[in-house]
Amino acid sequence: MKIISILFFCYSLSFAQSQLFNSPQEVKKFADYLYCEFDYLRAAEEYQKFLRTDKNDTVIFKSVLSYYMMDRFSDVLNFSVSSSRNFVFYDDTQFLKLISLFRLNMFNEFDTTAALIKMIGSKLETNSEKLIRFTFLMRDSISSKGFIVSPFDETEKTTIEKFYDRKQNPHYKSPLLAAVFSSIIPGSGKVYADKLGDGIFAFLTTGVFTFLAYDNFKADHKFRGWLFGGLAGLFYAGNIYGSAAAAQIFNAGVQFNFQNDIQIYLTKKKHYLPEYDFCN
Amino acid sequence: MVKLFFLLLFFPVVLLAQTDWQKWEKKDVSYQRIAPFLERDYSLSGEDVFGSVTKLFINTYWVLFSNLDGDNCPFNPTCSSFLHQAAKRTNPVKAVLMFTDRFTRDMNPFNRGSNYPVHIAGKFYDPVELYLLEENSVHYLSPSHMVQ
Repeated sequence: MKIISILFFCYSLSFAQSQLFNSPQEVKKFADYLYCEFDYLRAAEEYQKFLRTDKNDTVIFKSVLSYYMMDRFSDVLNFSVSSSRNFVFYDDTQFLKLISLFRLNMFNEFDTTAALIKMIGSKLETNSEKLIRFTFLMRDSISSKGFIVSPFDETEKTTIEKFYDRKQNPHYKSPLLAAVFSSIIPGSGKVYADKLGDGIFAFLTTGVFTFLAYDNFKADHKFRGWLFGGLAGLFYAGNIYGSAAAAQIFNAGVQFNFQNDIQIYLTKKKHYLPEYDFCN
Repeated sequence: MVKLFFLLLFFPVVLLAQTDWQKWEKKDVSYQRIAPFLERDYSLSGEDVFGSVTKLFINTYWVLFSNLDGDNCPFNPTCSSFLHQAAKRTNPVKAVLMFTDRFTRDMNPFNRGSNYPVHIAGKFYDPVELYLLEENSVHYLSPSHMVQ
């Protein structure tokens, strides 16, 4: 029995998992494997594990890039702090930070980072200039068309000019005009605010109650006449109010669609982030 | 030694074995529809004069008509809740105007899908905030958006 126990003990020692599996180099190797398999969440965790014992510029960048790939922009901001100026990927990390600030609509911090990128003469300065122009389009600031399109090449200029024109001349509807239209013809303000169906139903509701009021007064049914007349007045006034609100909602929609189109365009362009091939 | 080994093996098996105290059996299925709209707040506390009058009117409507008629309003919040919220947020005149406008929109059965985002409860999301006519009160949501 003793022999069995001793043999069992020896075998356990021989086959036990070696500590080498958790060495920083093995962790990095595993993280790289996960990164190349697009398993960015686990890759980022493994990179962080590596960075607890070791410091490596590429690993910091790849960890930040993993968070960026998952749209976890707050984590990008948190972990890009550890990158220092003498690192090879410092410029790239700062640019990732810039994109994240853009995506989080943190424009004040964006301006600071953009100024830093310009100051250090980053290799990605042109790319950051392009992003800066997009922030001008998204913010309430007035700039000339020439200034906005200047960092873009000929293939992009037409699209950027179109964005600029949309920014300068948004097809807004006037809430006041919508209310005036509805006060003249019930429902017309809604039609003006691009709500055709609502406009038609507002016209019908007001029209039917007005007709009922008229018909009852004509038949000398005073109570019913006043009742339907009151309802007609209420729906008439409600429609004038609703038309102004519909125009305001329409304008918010125009602004939303403009910003959304910019985001779609930038996503297609991958926010001007260079291609990195760490897997081949 | 062998006895001790088996004894040691026995305890973990007993402790870690999967328990199956619950009897597996047929269960009666309830086909009753869940009606969250019935969980309504009928209280009048914290209301001003107009709010109390409106709430009384709404409570009467809920008890006499809506609870019996079922969950039929296509919007979230429902038209009656919209009136109540509008009464809380604005003045009586504005609240009534907002309600009549909502009521007219409720009558239009066409193109709702392209005008309103859908609430997770399956209703068209149309909050009071959009109609207050105040600066920065409109937080636009695309009709393709699913509201949680």
